[in-house]
Amino acid sequence: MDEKSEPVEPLFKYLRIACDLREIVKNTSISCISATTKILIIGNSWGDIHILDHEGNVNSHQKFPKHIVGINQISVDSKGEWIGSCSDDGKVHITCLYAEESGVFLNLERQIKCIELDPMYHKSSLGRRFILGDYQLTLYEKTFLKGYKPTVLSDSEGLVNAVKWNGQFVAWASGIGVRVYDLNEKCSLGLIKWEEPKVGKLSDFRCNLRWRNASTLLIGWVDSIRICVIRKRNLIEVSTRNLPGFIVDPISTFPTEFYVCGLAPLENNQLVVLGVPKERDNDSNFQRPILCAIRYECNVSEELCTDSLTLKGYQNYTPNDYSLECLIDENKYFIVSPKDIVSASLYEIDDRVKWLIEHELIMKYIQVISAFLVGVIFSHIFGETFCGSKNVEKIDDQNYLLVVLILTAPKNILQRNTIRETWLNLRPREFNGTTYQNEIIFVPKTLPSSFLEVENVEKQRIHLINYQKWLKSSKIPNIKKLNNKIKHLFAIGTEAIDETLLKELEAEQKVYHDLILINDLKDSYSNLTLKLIKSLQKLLITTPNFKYLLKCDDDSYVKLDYLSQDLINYHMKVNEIKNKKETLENLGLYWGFFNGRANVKTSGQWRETNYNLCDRYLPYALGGGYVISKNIATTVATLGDDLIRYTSEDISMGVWLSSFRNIHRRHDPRFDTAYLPRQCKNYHLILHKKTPNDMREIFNGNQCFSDVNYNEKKRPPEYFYDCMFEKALNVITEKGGKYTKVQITRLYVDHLLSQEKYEEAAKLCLRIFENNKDLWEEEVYKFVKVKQLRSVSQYLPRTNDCKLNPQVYEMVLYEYLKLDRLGFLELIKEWPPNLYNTTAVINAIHDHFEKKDKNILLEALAILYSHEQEYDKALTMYLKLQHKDVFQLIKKHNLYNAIRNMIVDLIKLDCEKAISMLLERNKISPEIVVAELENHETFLYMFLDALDKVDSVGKFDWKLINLYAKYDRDKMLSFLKRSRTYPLQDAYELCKVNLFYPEMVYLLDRMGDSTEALTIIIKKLKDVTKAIEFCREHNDLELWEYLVNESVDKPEVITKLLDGIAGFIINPEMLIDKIQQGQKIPGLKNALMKMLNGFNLQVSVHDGCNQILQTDYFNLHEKLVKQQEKGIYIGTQSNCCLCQRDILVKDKDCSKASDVIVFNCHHFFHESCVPEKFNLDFCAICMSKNI
Amino acid sequence: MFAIINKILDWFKSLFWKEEMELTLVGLQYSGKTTFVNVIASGNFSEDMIPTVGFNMRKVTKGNVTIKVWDIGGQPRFRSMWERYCRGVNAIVYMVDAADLDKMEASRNELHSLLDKPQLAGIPVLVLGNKRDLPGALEETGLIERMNLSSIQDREICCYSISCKEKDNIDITLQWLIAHSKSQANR
Repeated sequence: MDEKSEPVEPLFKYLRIACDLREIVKNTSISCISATTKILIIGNSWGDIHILDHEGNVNSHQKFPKHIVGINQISVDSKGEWIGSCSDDGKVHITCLYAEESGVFLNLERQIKCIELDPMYHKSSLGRRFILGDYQLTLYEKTFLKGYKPTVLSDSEGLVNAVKWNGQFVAWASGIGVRVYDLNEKCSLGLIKWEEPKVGKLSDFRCNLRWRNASTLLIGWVDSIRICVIRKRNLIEVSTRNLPGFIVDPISTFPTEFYVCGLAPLENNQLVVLGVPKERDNDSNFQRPILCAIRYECNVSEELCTDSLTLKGYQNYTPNDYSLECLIDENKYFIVSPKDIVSASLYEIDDRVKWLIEHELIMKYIQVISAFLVGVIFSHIFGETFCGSKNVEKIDDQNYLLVVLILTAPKNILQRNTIRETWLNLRPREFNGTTYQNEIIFVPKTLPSSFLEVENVEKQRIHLINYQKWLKSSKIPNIKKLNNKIKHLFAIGTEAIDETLLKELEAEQKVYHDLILINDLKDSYSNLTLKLIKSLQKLLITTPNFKYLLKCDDDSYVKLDYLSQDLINYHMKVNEIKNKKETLENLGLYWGFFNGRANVKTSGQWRETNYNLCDRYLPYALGGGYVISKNIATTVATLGDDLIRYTSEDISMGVWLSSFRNIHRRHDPRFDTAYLPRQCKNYHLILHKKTPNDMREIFNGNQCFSDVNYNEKKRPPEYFYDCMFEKALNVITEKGGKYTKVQITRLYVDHLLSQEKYEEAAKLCLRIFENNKDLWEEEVYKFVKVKQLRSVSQYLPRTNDCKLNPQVYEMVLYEYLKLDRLGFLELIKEWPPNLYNTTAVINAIHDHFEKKDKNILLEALAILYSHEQEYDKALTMYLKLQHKDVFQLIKKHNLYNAIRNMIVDLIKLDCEKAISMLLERNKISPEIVVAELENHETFLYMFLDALDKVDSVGKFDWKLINLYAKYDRDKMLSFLKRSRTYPLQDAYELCKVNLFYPEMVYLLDRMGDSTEALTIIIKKLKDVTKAIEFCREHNDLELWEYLVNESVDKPEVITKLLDGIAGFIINPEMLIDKIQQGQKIPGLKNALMKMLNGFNLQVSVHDGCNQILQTDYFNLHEKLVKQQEKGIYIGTQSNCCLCQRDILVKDKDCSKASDVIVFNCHHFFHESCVPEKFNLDFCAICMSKNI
Repeated sequence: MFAIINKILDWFKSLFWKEEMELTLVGLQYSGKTTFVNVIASGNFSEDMIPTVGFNMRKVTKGNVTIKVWDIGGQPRFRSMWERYCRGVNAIVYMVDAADLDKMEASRNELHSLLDKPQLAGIPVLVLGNKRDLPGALEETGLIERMNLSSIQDREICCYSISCKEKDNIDITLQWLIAHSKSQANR
């Protein structure tokens, strides 16, 4: 947290009043204001009065008489009905807000500075009094018939600065100080003199008066504040010295560092003060006004909170221009400047929690409501020891609903008497005959599993709400008491107490007959459990007929009326359900405020040295008061001597009753029975830790009388009882505002951790904290403590907007490094490197390097190095690992420059990937690769081969050809054909050496030596088909001749020649001529026949084509002629293509008519339009012929 | 003769037994709040009213009871102020346009959220379904159901169907209001 200083929690929230107010202040300025709970009344500098609501909406229906100049002051009576205003124009208006009644109008022809209506002005019987202040202070009072009668109260102390009326007192400020005038006694109660300020005159400053309550006056003037109390004077003094009955007593005076512009009460001993700092800014203007909360004690004050306010145009204003108006009951303040009104109200609880959370101070604030896991241990204490006495036992065989057993110490007679006088007199009353069992009371039914149904938190909550509703609704109880149903008994151990005390006790017993005196019991705290058992045993003998028993202490206040009312209803409902056989016949009740999480106390007064069941107490109802049914009381009493006795009776009771199946454990938040009172609630049935004085106050209806005495922080929490966190959370969410959820989670995380449910705890953290960094950091350290960071690791937030302290992540990594290497690697892979400090982790790995997990650690190192951008190191790691991720790494980080020296290694690692990577365009130049691979021909070959496929630059073609010759001849020919950039001669030589004939043929062909090529084909390859192909490609007569010449001596070749090509390409004669006489040519006949057939076919094809052409010609010609013979329609719509007029003249006058020329292309012309020089044989537009 | 004596008695009563009450009139816009005030104040019904901006204050005297009426604008921007005006009054009168079924739900929600305010706990509420003269207007039972009035348990609540135009049921409304003036409520 911030070390400098904790930020001060803001006290006020501000809201600028806008709406119509903005219009008003546009042209005028606010000169005074008065506020009621419903409206604001504003007087402006032009003499108008406006009525606004609290949001600034003007009520324009109300018309007020206008003043001529600015209004000096507005005063409203306590009911907000009458409004008085005064002004320098000498006029005073008092008008009723509700128009119906006529007001007052005075024209006094002097400047009236102040007006103050009697707060009770609306009561016409009180004389409609008001006070005006100018150079004198005048009281006006309506008289019968005569109108208003002025009474001058003071006229010698200069201009009246301020007046405030409060009941019989009027406080007013003159030029020299503040006076309080008693209207009943018609005298001044004395002058509170004010010091002249160091700068300026006293009368230059407006005095600010405010009555805090009927007798406390707050005065703020210039730069000091004084708080005065009006006290009644000593009666003797009054009568002997003839002094006024009251005296003004200044209880606190303190200076301020600013000029006071207004003040208002806040809480006890606290003030809200509006001020303007005395120091001026560089332009000697006043600074921003401030709103300051001050706590005062005697003559010392302390600023709780100071807010600097930016009001419109503050630079131009002086302290007198500002004012503060307040609604005391609502703690609402209005800060008024001439052009602006800002309302300030106290931060409410939700606002505060929000603020505290925002400023990481949430732990300062503890909500009362909490969940089951906020366990509280408590018990009560009795320190005294006494001795017993004999007492007379009478059997009381009346039938009681409830017996109240109060454990009390012998000497606490005051407590007993108070209890007797107060709450024991309460009896259940019928509330208009209403019962509320169904809405409020839960009675468990038996489940099929033979266990009792459990009242879940939701139900508990609903029941409590319903109870509150019921409390509110039943305002008119029937006074009829259901008497003689309740009995009370005080249990006291009387062994070894001194005689006098014993006598007193016996006397007490004689009077009240309500003591159980246990003579074989020493009354001490350590004996409490035994005392309970013994008193139960005795009680059961003396009062055998009762249904329920309430055990409480002599510092418990029980609202016996409501409690027994509830109990009656419960009893009725239980019977109802029992009759339906839905629950156990012998169902017992154990009703109180349960705690199931209390740690065993090993020290202090409540220590339990012999409790060894568990590290927690079994769930028990807190001992300030709980109710048990009679069957339980009987069981305890019967088994009493065998029962285990822990020091605290309530804990013992919890343990005893834990084993019974027939007990309804009724947890009830209405039982305020912890070691300290919880926050006072009207629905509480039992209030613990009350002094006799408190009890009397409570009995008189002042329940929360002592509530202020307790420190909020120390209060035990109020909660519903549940064993499931989820539901508890729900309760918190719905009841306690969203903020406490986090606290609950924290506690629950602790709980889970202690249960070693790490995973669950981590998940919970994720769910609740989400991305709240601070919460996470705090919780993570808990996991550190138990060395279980691993379980939380996957839930830690990792996004950029919620990044925990890097140390947290590092800690997680260290833990993994030590305990789970594989997991470590996973995390390294998963987590973005900006979460933690990589160098630190690398060092840690080096420190913990072990051969065993070499590969894992190397990989982790490689990843980390690449995060560190030390890629060469990372690459080395990968290569060491022979890890294929290396390629990705290179690609990702563009490491092509770095890998130069590693190319060979890379290829060795993964040939295919390496090469494809090397080939990537523009990443690494092939020259470098080739140079690198010079000594690894296989790789070089593979690389170049691949390179050729993607990029045939041709630089390395010659090299590649060489390599092809060596490694892959098949690809060579196609490559030779493709490539253009190798030296042909060298290639030829190479092929020659290697006897690659097809390649040679190709090369020779390219070199232009086709004869040589043909020779190779014929001689070396002996492939006639190829030779023929070759010749056909070149279609060179010389080649053919050469081929023929070369082949004449080979009859099979001739056959092929004749068969394949003769007759089509070369003249067969040429071939046939070459055939020597007598040469045997196999299949000659067939070949010749085929040849001749071929000729025949060619001739017939020729003829056929001829015929088809002719037929086509005739057909088409015929069609054309037919077409041209058709007529052409000329309609009235047709236009001349040249003049665009209608082609046909419609007038009767034919003189304008002209001949029409029509073309086959459907273009028409007037003959006259066509210039003569045009040839009329062709259409001028499309050149087709005339008809 | 008897009547005159009675009148004089009433006048005396009103002199000495003057009672006062304060009530706040809220409801959605165009439900007839200002019209209602005019009707109970002067008996005049006027069809064309301008929407109330902010609030109106009126004092109406009926017999010996003086009723202070805060008539608050019903437009949404004024609704946040309703609660403030309802604080500490003797009764809240909630006006509903019984003929405008579309706005019924909005009206119901506004009423319930207003009555949920802790400061207004226990203040009696009178729901008036105005414009019963219009065809299709809901009667009391319909209003109670549509406004879910039966769920309001923590205070006295009453519902009348009225017509300001026809002056239907204005008398019983006034009777209810007068019965809830200060001294009556304390009795």
